[in-house]
Amino acid sequence: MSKQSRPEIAVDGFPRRGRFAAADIVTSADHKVVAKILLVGSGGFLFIAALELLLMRLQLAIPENIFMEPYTFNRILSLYGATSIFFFALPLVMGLFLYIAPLQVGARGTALPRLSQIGGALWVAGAVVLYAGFLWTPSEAGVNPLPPLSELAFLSNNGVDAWLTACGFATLGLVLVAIDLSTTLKVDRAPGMAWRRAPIFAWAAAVGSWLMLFIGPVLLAAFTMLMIDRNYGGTFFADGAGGAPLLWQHFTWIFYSGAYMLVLIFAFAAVAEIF
Amino acid sequence: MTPHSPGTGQINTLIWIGFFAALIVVVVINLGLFGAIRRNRGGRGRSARQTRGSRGLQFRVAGSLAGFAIVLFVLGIIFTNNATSTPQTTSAGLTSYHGKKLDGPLVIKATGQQWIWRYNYPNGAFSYYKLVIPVHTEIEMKLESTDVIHTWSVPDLAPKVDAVPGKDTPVVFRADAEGEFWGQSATLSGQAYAPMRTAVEVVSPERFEEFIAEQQKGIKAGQEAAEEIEAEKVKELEETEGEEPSGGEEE
Repeated sequence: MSKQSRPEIAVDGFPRRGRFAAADIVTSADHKVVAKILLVGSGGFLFIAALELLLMRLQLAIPENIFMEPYTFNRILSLYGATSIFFFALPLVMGLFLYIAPLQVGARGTALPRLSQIGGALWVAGAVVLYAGFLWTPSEAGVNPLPPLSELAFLSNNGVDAWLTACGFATLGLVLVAIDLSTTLKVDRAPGMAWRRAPIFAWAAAVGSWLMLFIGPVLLAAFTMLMIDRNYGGTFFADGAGGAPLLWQHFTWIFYSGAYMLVLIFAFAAVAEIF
Repeated sequence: MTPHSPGTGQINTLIWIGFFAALIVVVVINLGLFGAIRRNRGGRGRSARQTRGSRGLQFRVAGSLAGFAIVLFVLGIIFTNNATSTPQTTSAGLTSYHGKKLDGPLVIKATGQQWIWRYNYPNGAFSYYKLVIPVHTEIEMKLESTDVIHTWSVPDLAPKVDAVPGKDTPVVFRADAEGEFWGQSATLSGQAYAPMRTAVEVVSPERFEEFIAEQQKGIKAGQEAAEEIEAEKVKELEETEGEEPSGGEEE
């Protein structure tokens, strides 16, 4: 233990009182516990997303099907888009990175454990907002809510706002996890664990968390701009008033291409690590 | 998809090249994998062989795959470049329009709106849902939108193009066969997105001139009828105003 100068941070939650473990899970800032929240949650959302996909394919099984109303289809499509990317794929990747990479490089916990804890909590809050929003006023703007369709003029209820809030919470949470992870991998590697000796999965975690740090804020900026457009009379994506609908597509192109690359880096690194 | 224009022919060829390239890669890799398993696996009285590749093996395999990918990439650039190049009007196409010689493409404006396509031809004629174009003629279609983003997609004739509000997106194509081709919108545009379809009828140049004349006659008749109704309404309104003092519209 060469890092004696670093103060010990209590990250294991409150002392256990009785057999009730939920308080431990909620208050723990241990990276393994936060990662487990992300991983278990993403497993659940994989199931839910598959169910939504099944419903949509049932509608599309034959032409002119009347299995569900057009607006129901659009609602499920919007829900599916958010669930599959923000609540299944990205938390699976970031969760496994957060669980395994600090152990692989021999770090004692993570560098900024409370940041990961807030990140996990924000992600859970995002999931709650998304599904609560679906029960009250769902978004009908599709997988990627392209303005002008997602502007107030065309979808005037609060569905798109709820969708943006939910995915914004989730993205912010994953960005916080990425900050924690990239800091840990930079400063908390065990003595002698040079990058040339680090396992490939730890490499992927470092690259992936830096990538998340790059693409996440871009998406958050786009979400904020659309929220301003919808609620405070902004014209970022309104044509004819100085804005451009294509601006949104450029922003989300950066995020979604980066997100697919993140999943690919994760998958290749996992395969390379195992075999 | 059965291509009926030079551009979509290029795209179709590229799709098949990509398909067979992928098929070859998948088959070769899997044959190699199963062959290696068969050769090296253990069995009765024979222990499995642990093999190690020679020193440059990884680079040779990765290099050949990268070369393959580069060839495909270059092919893709060549084909998409050909697909988007402008096809000229041939002698069998529409060479004159309304008595005037047609230089360059026939320009048609396509407007997407929730949830129907409107086509504006030169000289003021227009049609909804169905686009009628002359065969063997260079068409320059300018896509616009009045509300949200729509995507015009007629796979047999032209590449997909977005109609974005506030922008004027052109697509150039030439139909080389007469007939009717289906198309549909390809970007979610709201509740009636699914039935927002379109059709392109490719006809002979003579029939196209006839169609434009018919449309203009129909539009003129419609406008006259509308004007007549308008005039009647105005007359009625004047009569009622004469009878009693109005005040109904001041709210």
